[in-house]
Amino acid sequence: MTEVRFESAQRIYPGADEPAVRGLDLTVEDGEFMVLVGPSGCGKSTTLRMLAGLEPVTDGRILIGDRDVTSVAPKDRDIAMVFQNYALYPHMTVADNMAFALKMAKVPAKQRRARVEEAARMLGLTDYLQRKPRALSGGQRQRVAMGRAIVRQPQVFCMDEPLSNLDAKMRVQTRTDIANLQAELGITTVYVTHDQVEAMTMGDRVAVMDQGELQQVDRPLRLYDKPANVFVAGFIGSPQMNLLRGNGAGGVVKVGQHTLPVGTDVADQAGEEGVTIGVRPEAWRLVSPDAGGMPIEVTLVEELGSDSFVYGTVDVGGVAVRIIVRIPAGERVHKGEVLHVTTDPSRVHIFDTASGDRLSA
Amino acid sequence: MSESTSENPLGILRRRRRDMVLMYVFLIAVALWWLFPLITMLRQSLEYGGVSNFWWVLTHSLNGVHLPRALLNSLVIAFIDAVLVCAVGSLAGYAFSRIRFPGREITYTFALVFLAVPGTAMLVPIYYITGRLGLFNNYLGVALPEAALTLPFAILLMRNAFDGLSDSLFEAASIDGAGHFRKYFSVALPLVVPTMMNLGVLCLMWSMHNFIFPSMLVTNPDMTTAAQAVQSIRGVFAPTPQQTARFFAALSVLTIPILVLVVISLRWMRHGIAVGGSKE
Repeated sequence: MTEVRFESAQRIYPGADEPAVRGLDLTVEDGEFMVLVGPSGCGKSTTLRMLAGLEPVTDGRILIGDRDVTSVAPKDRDIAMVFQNYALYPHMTVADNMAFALKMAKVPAKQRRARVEEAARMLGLTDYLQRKPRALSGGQRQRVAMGRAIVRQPQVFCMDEPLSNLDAKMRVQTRTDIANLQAELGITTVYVTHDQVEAMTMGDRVAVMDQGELQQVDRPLRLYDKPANVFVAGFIGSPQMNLLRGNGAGGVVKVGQHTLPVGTDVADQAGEEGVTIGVRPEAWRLVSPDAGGMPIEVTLVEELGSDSFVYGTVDVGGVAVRIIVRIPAGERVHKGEVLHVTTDPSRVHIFDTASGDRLSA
Repeated sequence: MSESTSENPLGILRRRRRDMVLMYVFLIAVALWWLFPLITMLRQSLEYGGVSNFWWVLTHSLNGVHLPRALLNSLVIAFIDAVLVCAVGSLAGYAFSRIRFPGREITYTFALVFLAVPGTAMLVPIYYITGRLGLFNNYLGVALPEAALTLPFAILLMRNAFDGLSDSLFEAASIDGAGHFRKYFSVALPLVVPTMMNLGVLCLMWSMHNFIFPSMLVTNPDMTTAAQAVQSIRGVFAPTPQQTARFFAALSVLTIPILVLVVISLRWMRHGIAVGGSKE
């Protein structure tokens, strides 16, 4: 049973005023694939490095299983880490790279070899065991880094953006490989990435961070369907959710001179700054001009084959606000046209502009 | 050159070739200029007796100095110096680069300040200390102060080399269970071999060039070094043409082996071993 628990874990870098990670409370279940995601500088890597013991914990504590590891040396935490740049030892062969930790742990040579060979078989590296890292492709190096983690049979895998140095195609393939491997081994994994597609496709649960604070932890689809605040709403989903400021009145929200149906009356819940409503690109519905709806002037159309994304602007009180609309592939839309769109109350997310928190259920 | 040819790639190539020729002419001229004393020495040494001059100086005791022995002395001292400097310099460089300890930067700056202290300024203390240690006329007695004076440079060089390695390598080693000595031997050292070779060769060269320390700390003719011998054998040769030729032969014997050694070791001064383990 290896559960990882952060209890008010905090990290303040020497000389910094603001903590890089602020009072983080997070529990990773046994065998779970937890993805930490967020923009650069959000504290996700620092969080992982605190778990690995590479970064001291300023305040709070970290538990692996029932053991408090807050001040335990990295090597005694029973974790393995995969680094963004792989950090393979350039002068050692693939086999030696993978066996290094076992050698340090004084595992007998015979057993070492067996474990390295088994890991190499799982990763398709058997033919490369005697090569040096520089004679391998990027994808192979990535697998060696994985292999080095696997042979240790650790309680926790820590992965710090392990795919960001691969080309796009390789990344998609390796993504599935890592997810499958983790499911097969059942080892609790904490995975850091800035790529929300990686987060959504790989994680059992995803923790979204921003400015050192945890914004929301949930299953990927829940994050998509019920973002807890404006940040998560804007971060998860590609292309990103349309966020418009407005004022609630009755069952509608007025965005400038336009009106969008939201179903419930949110006026009394919102602060002085009004509400921000979020509509995903696929939640817009095209309507005829006389049926009301917001007029959008098309500036760019991305045709992806299965569907198209229309980028345009809507005039809100004299300011051009960007809007992204997904339309079915059959529809023909051209630059310069004006579309009229509206949405359904059930597909609108409502946030308080001042706090950013979600108001709708 | 007209405008049209300067835009033509072939024209650029042709011009490059002309540049190459000019560069080679310049390089050869400079090389000859530098080689001139060496060539003169060799030419002089072969007059009045030719190769037999060399045989004579190699087999005779000159003021109690045997040239092969002097060369050997130089080599032994230089070797001890190089080993000491590489060992201590790389350990210190590793510590300054990879271990966080209070006062690290101050200690480091202090070590670097000694780069500015000339060896001659420390002659008296060195003479005194060596005497107290009973190391006059001893290989170690010469190699120790030489190494001490080269160490600031060695620390600077080795720290930069270790600083240049990726942090994640050391983090990976920490997680793999390696302590500092293990990281030093198994991870860091193999990756700075080219730098260390550089350092070793420089130590050999500087030590064999060193004249002041041996002449102060070594009085026994059996322990005389090559650099020192150049001075101490001078009195043996009378100002006759034959004796002058022999003197030049002796000088050749003292310089050329060292020159060859340095040229061979220059082959080590190549980089590029530490490529490919991590991807930045």
